[in-house]
Amino acid sequence: MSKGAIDLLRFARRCAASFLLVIFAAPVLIAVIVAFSPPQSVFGGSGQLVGVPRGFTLQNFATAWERTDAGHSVFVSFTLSAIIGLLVAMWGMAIISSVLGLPTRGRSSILSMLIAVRILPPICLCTPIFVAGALFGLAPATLFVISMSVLLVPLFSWLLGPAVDAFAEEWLDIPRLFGLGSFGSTLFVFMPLALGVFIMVTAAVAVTAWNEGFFSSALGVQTIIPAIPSLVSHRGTDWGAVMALGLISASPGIVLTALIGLYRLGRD
Amino acid sequence: MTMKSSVLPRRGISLAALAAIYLGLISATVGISLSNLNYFEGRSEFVGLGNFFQLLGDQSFLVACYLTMKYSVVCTLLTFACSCVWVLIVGHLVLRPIYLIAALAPWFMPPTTVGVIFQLLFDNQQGLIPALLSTFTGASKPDFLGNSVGAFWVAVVADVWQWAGIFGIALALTAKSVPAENIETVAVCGGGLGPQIVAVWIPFLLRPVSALLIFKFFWNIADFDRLSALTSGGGPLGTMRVFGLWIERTYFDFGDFGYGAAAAVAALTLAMLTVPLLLVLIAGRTQ
Repeated sequence: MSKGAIDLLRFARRCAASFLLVIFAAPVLIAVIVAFSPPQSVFGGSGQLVGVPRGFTLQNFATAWERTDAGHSVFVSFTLSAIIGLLVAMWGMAIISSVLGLPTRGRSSILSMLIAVRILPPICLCTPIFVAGALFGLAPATLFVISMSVLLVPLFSWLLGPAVDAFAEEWLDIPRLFGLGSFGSTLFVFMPLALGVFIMVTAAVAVTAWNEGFFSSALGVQTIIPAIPSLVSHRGTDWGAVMALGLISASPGIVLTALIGLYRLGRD
Repeated sequence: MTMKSSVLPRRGISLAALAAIYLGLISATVGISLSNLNYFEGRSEFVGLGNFFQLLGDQSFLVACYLTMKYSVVCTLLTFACSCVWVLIVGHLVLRPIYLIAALAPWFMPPTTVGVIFQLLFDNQQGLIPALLSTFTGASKPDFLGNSVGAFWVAVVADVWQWAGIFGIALALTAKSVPAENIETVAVCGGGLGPQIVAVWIPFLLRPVSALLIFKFFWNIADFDRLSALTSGGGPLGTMRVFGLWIERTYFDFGDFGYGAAAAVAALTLAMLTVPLLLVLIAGRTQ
């Protein structure tokens, strides 16, 4: 193949990659534009698309904030996600500590089983949780924390799998000589080695809990996610406010993505 | 030896607790499915397999199952196809920050937010895509979300958009495990791209890719948030009421926990029958 043809192929590939990037970014960009545009500048009073907005405003955020009591919802979402992240991290570390002492094949089998559990549809496991909540009079937030922790622990443990695979069983011998148990050994030997991955995985789990909509709406927990569809109405939707709330709800995920990107940038 | 034997039982507590909770949840769901427990009416009597027989004759449930199967298969295959295109175009640069962010950002967004964004994009009155189509074709604005076929494909597009990137990353990382020397060997023997695919890529990628597809399929079966937000709870006349939306309606609109649990048991049985296959596929990858 001639040099010209190779250059042309490279150019075509770059164009295709740019096109794909645009496709990935377009929905988010449109949401950002609508959220930051003055009301009725993207959509006219009749609900028709008017055109490219001129100007920048935070009014949609203020509207969404007032209409949905978003301050309270954000606080509830943040608190519950943090608690779930913490609980899952502790439980997950206990599982990892019990797996670390096993031979490689045993570790892989257990981690495989943990991720295989994730194919059980969560929506199909929720009935006993609601019934237990009604029977024992548990608060919706408590039920939410319990159910999300149970659902996310397998994912957490599996995501730490590569770090577990890279861990040699002999590394646990030294802390054992100092009389530490399996959990202590994991805490003092495994954790420092896998700290970056551990923090990322914990953050990812917390974001997943933040993003959960079914359990929060079904249990009546006032997180931010069920508030978004409540702004959509058949009688006319203020899309600026909806997109503003959508962006607020997506902010933890966007921040985490940016951090992962920065982490990769640092490594490159 | 003494230390190991005393430590081992304690070490498994966290795993045993998790297993016990899952087994408890599954058994309790089975137990509830054998009753006519109704949350609103406050009754609960043993009905045996009555709920299951009723499900078999329930047209709305059968339609929801058919729609869910269709939706899950189409989403899984299209996500796979798009992620292959993504990997082929971006190639080894898939972990570069810009491509990584582009792929991960949709996945980390709340499905409900994705649902409302796509509802806005395809909305008949205010959506950008119907407006653009109308401008370029001169025809009236197509009502994608107002008919079952349009709503189905918008739901598929939203799902593929959210998942293709992360699926592409998983595929690219899996493809990295294919030994370069095997490809070189085929090339030295005169084999082109076709023989390389048949002799190296397919044998190495078949198991992990199958496992990924199974995961995606079951995650689609459990889809609720995005579809609920996108179709405002089930689409025009409930024609987009997939399994998740059907079960949510049975639980919380009718309070019929016994009947809903019977449907849940059906889905759980399908998932649990697939778990051994999944374990074989993942174990194959580990070996």
